[in-house]
Amino acid sequence: MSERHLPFLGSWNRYWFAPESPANLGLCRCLFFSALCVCYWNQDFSAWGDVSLAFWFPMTLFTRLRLLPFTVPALSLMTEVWKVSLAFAAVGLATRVATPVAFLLGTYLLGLPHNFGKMHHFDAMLVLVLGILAVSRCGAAWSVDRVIAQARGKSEPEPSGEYRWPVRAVWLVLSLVFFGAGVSKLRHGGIAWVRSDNMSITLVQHAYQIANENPATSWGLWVARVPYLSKLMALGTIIIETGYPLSLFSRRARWFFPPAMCGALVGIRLLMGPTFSQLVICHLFWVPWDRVACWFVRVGRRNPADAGNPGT
Amino acid sequence: MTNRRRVFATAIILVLIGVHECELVRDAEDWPICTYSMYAGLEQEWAITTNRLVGVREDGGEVPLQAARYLYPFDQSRMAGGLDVILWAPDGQRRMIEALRDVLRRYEVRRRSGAHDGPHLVGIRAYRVRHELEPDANNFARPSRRQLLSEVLPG
Repeated sequence: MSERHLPFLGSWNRYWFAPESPANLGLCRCLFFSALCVCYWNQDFSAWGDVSLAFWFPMTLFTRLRLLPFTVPALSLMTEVWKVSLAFAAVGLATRVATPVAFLLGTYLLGLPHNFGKMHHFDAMLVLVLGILAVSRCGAAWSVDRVIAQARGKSEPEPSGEYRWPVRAVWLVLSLVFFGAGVSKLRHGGIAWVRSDNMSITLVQHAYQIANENPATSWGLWVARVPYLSKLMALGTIIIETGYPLSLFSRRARWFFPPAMCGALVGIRLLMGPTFSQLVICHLFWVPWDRVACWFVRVGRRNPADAGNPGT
Repeated sequence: MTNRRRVFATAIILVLIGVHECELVRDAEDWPICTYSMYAGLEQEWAITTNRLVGVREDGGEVPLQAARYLYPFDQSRMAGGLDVILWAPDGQRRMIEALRDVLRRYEVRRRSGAHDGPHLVGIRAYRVRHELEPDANNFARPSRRQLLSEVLPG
């Protein structure tokens, strides 16, 4: 079967595998892992090794793989190795080893707390993104690996589909997740999720300290008092979540849905409490960082201070 | 890009789509494949029912244990959910006592090491509490209903 026989195959290949320079993927890798380092540097998973198994209700993944909590020293070591792998992946040193290690240890360490009674959602997407990067060639640019390869006389990598599909796969994961969240609301609540007092009630409930973090402001209570504002917020949530996959295909939609979703996630933190910074971090992949870097270079060249300096 | 790598990448993309759609159809959540169903339920009653832990001081007074520094590595949300799951388990009461002992032990170990500045506790209680919602949440410390689920006391 060729693209001539199946026109869809041509579109599919162009969408996922059109040749691209490695710069954007390299920058995405660098920024994503750097953000994870900042996010998790002070996190210690070892305390879960000290929690009674009375709380242990393993998720499907842990049941299938027969995973149990390790001892405190073992978890402490795993945490340190994971952090080092994140740092190595951020700078692109031994990337082909660092990214799979970050994925495998990350899956265990990030998943571990969810086996103790309640599953939170904020870090599930990270595991999928780590998995995509683990099998990608994301260390081909903006990396120490590249500098070493250059020093050994290896030529610049040619543009390839290898550097395009991982970024788009992250877009896909984001779209599937948020679309799922929107559909879930419509399935369980129907149109009443928007039209009833549902959002007002939810906002006030969170003032009773029920989330993993308390609301950063008291604005939620204020919004809850204005019924049309709560309903507008509920409607906005449904539109942003169910419309999010449009960003996969439309450049215009890309200017609206991902930034709107980041705004919504920040809004949740301010009004209700739960932290979703990990989901915001995943949105880094929507930015064409190679073009941003080019823009900075161009602006730098236009800088009047550099005009008389031929060496600049 | 070699054909082999292209097939591999295509397989990953198709698996991602497939498993997410399966979860969506099944309305299931198998971390890390989640449908993110939080807040999906329809809230119709201006009330909230949840589980709370309180510590018991030597003089018998109760101290709320809401803050994450007291419950570490749990947070209030995971603790409340965890107590719910334990209660529903077949050996719920036994597990509940064991879980409360565990929280109290860790609280005291961390207090002695200076990880938090909470008072010395000799016991711990788990309550199910219900609040009728008020616009300013001023009744947070005064639930309308409080049911003792389990307790661990000295002696």
